[in-house]
Amino acid sequence: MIGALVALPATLLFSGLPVFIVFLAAAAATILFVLPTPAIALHQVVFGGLDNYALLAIPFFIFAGELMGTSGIAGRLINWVLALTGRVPGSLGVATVGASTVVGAISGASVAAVAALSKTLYPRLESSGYGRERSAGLLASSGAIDIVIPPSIAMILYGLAAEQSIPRLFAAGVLPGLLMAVLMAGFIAIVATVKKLPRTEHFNAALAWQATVEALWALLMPVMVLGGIYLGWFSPTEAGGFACIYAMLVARLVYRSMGWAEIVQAAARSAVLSAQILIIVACAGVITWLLTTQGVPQTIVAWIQSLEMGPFSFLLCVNLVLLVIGCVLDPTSAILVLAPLLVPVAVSLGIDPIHFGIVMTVNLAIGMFTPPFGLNLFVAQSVTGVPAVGLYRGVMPFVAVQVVALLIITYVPALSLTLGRSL
Amino acid sequence: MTGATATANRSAAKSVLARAGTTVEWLLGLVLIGIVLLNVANATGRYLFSSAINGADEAMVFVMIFLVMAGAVLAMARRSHIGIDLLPSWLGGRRLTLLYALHDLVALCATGFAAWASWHFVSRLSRLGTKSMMLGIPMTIPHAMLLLGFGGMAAISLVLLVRGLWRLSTRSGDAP
Repeated sequence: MIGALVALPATLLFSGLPVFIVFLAAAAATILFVLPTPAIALHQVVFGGLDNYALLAIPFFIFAGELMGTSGIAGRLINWVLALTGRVPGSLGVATVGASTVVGAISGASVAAVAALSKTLYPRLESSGYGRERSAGLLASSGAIDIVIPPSIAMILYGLAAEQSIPRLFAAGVLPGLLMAVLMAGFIAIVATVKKLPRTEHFNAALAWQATVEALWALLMPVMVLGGIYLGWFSPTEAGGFACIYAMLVARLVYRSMGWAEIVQAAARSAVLSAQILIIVACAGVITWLLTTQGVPQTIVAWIQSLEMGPFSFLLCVNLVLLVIGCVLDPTSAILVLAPLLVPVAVSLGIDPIHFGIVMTVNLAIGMFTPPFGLNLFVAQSVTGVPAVGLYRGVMPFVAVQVVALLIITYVPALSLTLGRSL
Repeated sequence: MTGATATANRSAAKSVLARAGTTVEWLLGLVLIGIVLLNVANATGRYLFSSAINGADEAMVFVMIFLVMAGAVLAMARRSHIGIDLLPSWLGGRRLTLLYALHDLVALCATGFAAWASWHFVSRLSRLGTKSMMLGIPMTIPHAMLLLGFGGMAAISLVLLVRGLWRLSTRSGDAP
């Protein structure tokens, strides 16, 4: 069974086969040749994986993010952060991190944010003396903050896979996300001081006010989405629906930056992207089901317990494994396959599953920009045109900074649990 | 048929397929907007007027299943599903065509098996006559979306496989 569920998928995955086909092929091989299971079970598990109201939040937040990027709402947020940053050391770099954090509060995915930020900020960063490699590295790594700052598709999937409250996970992600942003900004400020990078203009209250007025409708969106969830007005799925309607109305009627045809086009792109993610969700469920019916999670729990591993060393091992996996596998697939296996072990060691969810999310967020396969690297490379090796050089210092953030988040659970307790 | 006519026919067929793909994509976009509107109307009705739309949650989930399966078929035809595409990006020419042919063969087997499993399940469900809890529609309808989706993906894999093998049998063998 290990051959069918581990060796076969690994080989197929590295050959470039679509992830959901890998899961489906492994499940089919197991059902046909290893386990005496009726084939219709495969249909039932796939259907059961999709027959879930909470999953609707994924297409909704993808659509909201797409509308933000296409309508210029994200651009207004970026300009607002730039106007507020003023003349601190590395102000443009600090503003890039700040913009990524703000955009993260309205978008659930990292890739769209990296594309939007790279288009707007890369030329300015490069011309301000940051260099091609460092600029591209900064943009690719800043996008990872979006996955940790709610709303987050990775957290929705973890919540479903580990049966945890999605609003609590969203609340738990706020402080770790801000910590990642602060450490990144601090690092950039130090680099800018050492390298004597030019500063932007002095803070101008009139310009800042103008940028705030222009971005007001955009700024109200995260307030409405996250405020609505935390105040108990609506569920994450409903919040996603309201975010779409709000973005459509602001883009069409307030900013007049999109026509109805462009809105349908954005919806079409979002629908296909959502299908690509949700078909993985459905097919990953079959692998999880096969592993669970064979008692694999219980075997792993027993094995970890036999090693007499404490929470400290377990979390360290998890971090190492997830950092490596995050470099090669997308967060969706990694969370769906690994969460059902690792959460029982974490709980048996007394680790809060909400805290563990944040640790998993941060690990996989770092994987998004870790060479050689991080998805954000491909996006940054396609927008900036920086060669892969140069981009790897540019991104490595930020990997180190985010690993420091990861260790703090891992070993200070209060960072993840303080806000979540109030829900 | 002359070589020029065959080429013209092939490009006309490609253009028709591309237009069909764009039409399906637009349809999926409209469907997504429809789900968003239904979701917001349902939530607004529940919170403001204490009256939710009967069966809205169930309808949204069933439509989402349609959206996922139709979108997956479209992505399969465009080879745009999520995967680690490092090996395909390294390879070129005949080697890439061969790799894609192997991918298509595995995809054909996997989705064909899933379609076969779905066929058995839907047939059984049809005999039982099960209906959904809220809307009261036959459950064969949402379940058949998986059958159509996996069947569609198997059919597309077969077409891509045949096309790849045909390319390999010709002199150039270049990948599309």
